[in-house]
Amino acid sequence: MNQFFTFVVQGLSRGAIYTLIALGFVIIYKATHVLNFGQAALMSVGAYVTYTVNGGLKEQFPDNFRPWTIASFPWVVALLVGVLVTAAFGFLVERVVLSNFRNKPVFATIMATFGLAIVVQFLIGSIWGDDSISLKEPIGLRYYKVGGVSITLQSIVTFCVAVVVVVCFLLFFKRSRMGTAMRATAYDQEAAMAQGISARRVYGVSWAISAGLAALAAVLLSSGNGSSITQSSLQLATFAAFPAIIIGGVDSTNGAIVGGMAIGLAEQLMFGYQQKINNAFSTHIFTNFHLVFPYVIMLVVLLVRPYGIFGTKEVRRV
Amino acid sequence: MTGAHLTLLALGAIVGIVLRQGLTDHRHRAVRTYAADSRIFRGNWAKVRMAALALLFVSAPVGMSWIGVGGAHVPHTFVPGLPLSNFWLQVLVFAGIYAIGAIGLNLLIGFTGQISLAQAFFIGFGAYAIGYFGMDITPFGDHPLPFPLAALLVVVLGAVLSALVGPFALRLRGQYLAVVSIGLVVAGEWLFADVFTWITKGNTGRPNFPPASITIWPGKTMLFSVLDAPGGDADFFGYTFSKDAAYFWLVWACVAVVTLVSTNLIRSRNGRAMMAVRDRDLSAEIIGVRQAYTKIWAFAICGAFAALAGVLYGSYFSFVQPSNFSNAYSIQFVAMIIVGGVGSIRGSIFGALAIAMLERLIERYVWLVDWLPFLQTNNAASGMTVPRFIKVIFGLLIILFLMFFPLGLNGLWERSKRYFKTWPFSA
Repeated sequence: MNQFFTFVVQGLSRGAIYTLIALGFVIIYKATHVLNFGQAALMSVGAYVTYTVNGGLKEQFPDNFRPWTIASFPWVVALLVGVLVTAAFGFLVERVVLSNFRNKPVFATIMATFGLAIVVQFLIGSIWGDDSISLKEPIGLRYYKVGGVSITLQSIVTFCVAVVVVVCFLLFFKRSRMGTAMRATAYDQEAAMAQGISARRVYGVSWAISAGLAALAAVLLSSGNGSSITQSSLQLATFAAFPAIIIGGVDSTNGAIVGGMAIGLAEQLMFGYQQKINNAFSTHIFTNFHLVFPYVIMLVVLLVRPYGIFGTKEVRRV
Repeated sequence: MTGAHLTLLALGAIVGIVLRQGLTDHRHRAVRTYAADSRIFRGNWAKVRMAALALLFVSAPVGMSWIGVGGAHVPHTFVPGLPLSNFWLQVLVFAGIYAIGAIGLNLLIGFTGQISLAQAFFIGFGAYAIGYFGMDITPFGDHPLPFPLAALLVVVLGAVLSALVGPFALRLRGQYLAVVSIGLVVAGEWLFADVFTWITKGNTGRPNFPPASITIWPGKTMLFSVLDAPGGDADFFGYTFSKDAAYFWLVWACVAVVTLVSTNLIRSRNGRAMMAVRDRDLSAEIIGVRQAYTKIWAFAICGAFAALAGVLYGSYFSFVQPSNFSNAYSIQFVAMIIVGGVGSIRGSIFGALAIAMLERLIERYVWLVDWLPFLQTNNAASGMTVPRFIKVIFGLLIILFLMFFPLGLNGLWERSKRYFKTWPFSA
């Protein structure tokens, strides 16, 4: 039973990360009605910028002098810089590339985000290499025992940071002027523009917030527990976040939270128990099944509710 | 001035005359009947062009031995043609395999409007399945199934497997479907790496695949076979060719068949139904197009072509790993139809040629790009190395084509054709 709760705690912290990624998807979808399939690239930008500001490159290449390898700031400062730089990058990407795809078919826009992801991924590879990186963070491997259940400091930090950020975002989204403009644009773009809301600015801000959330998720993913990440592990995380948004409904912020937590829990429980399931059925096929399990859940949900649990049903006219 | 040069010049002249005649021949455009509209060859010059293409196809690999570049050992009295070295044959084999997969995907995305990113999964299925059905099982005593029979079985199974995805497409639309198809690729990598390990040999990769051959009955004499020896010579009616030459013929013959099937398909009732579903599936259903049947049909065709591409892939490379069929491989196929032209069969082939050549050309002729100051030609861990540079170019190609040439290479081709046709009144 204690083991079960340990898995649940890990699942909650994992789910918090998926929630952040899923929120990023949902924000862009609400503004532009297109899923950003290049979210993994934004996460990479955040992780690698944080890594550099944190002084990672200085240790990785001690004798290879580059101007940006001098800096070595604490984790929190690096995290803030990483989030801000990535947000600016997201804003820029929207302005330079995706603003050209406003009235193009959905397929074109989706593939443009894929193309962007490829370009960014290999540019990052050419600057930082393909080896795994790990941050110099203060969390480490510390853990607490609460009634037999071991809770790592990492999961506490991840969960709390995610909760605070999500609450702040929801307050911003529901209460602030910009958030209201974003919701209005999502609801009816033409009517919003008629009220004087700049859709252009809404798109840019949506991308910036989404990129910032992605960067935060990436840094949380690579902190604590001695975690190290590569670009492909970030990509795997976004592959798990896809089912999360689909389960919740692509245009629902509440859906992203529910979906993200559900997928995180399901994935970690499957990860924890798959060896036991293998042994119980005396087979080997459940190895790595936790990567596929989110999609299995997604299929079941989709067959019952094609627009997700909280998604709005699309009204279609001939 | 050797014989090869003269042949090249003569061939160029013939191609030029044929093209010019084809461009200025307007009579075949005036169609008055439905039958005339749905002919395969519009006008006699289309037939001549096709014959010229067929001649090029047959003689291309042979020409290289004729000028002594090496590879195919054939009598000197054989048909002269365009000289191709083994490198170019390999590139063209690559391109042919890509083209088959891209045509299938274009039927699904470009003609039916179903965004699928699962092509890698079906190609992987085809590759592993030809290993299993063409080599592992021996239903007729000692011999495995003959290659054509095994290939046919795999293609049919690929169609069935892909048709099973069809029902999901009925409930999900657009981006939801794209996400589900990504899930299929993720699941596929798991299936290949961890579940069907007795076929796929897990992450270490499967090294054994049946070489392509045309056999009538298991264990009987072969009409055409690619021997699995190192250096792989092929046997064709007693003549010996290099493995690459044999696969060039096999793969591009398959491309021809697939092209013929697809161009016929899109002129048929089913094809027009596909396009109606793409343009507005609700309206199509109201005027009597069976949406469910059409979508499942499109998925089945796409899966069949992907499985065929997989069969050729497995048989040609003889080594397959689960990581070959990742999401990036799917995107490569979508990139082909974007670069070539979404909604065009000819464009799929253009796109496949372009993507296959981009990769191999830059790899081989590094001097094409090594004047770029940021490029590193050594194999460093970081830095803009050639493989990374190719990927960046690849990503940029997707974005730039979507932004500036939404009709792809096929659109450029049609536009230049129109320019010459209406000259001197063209803009």
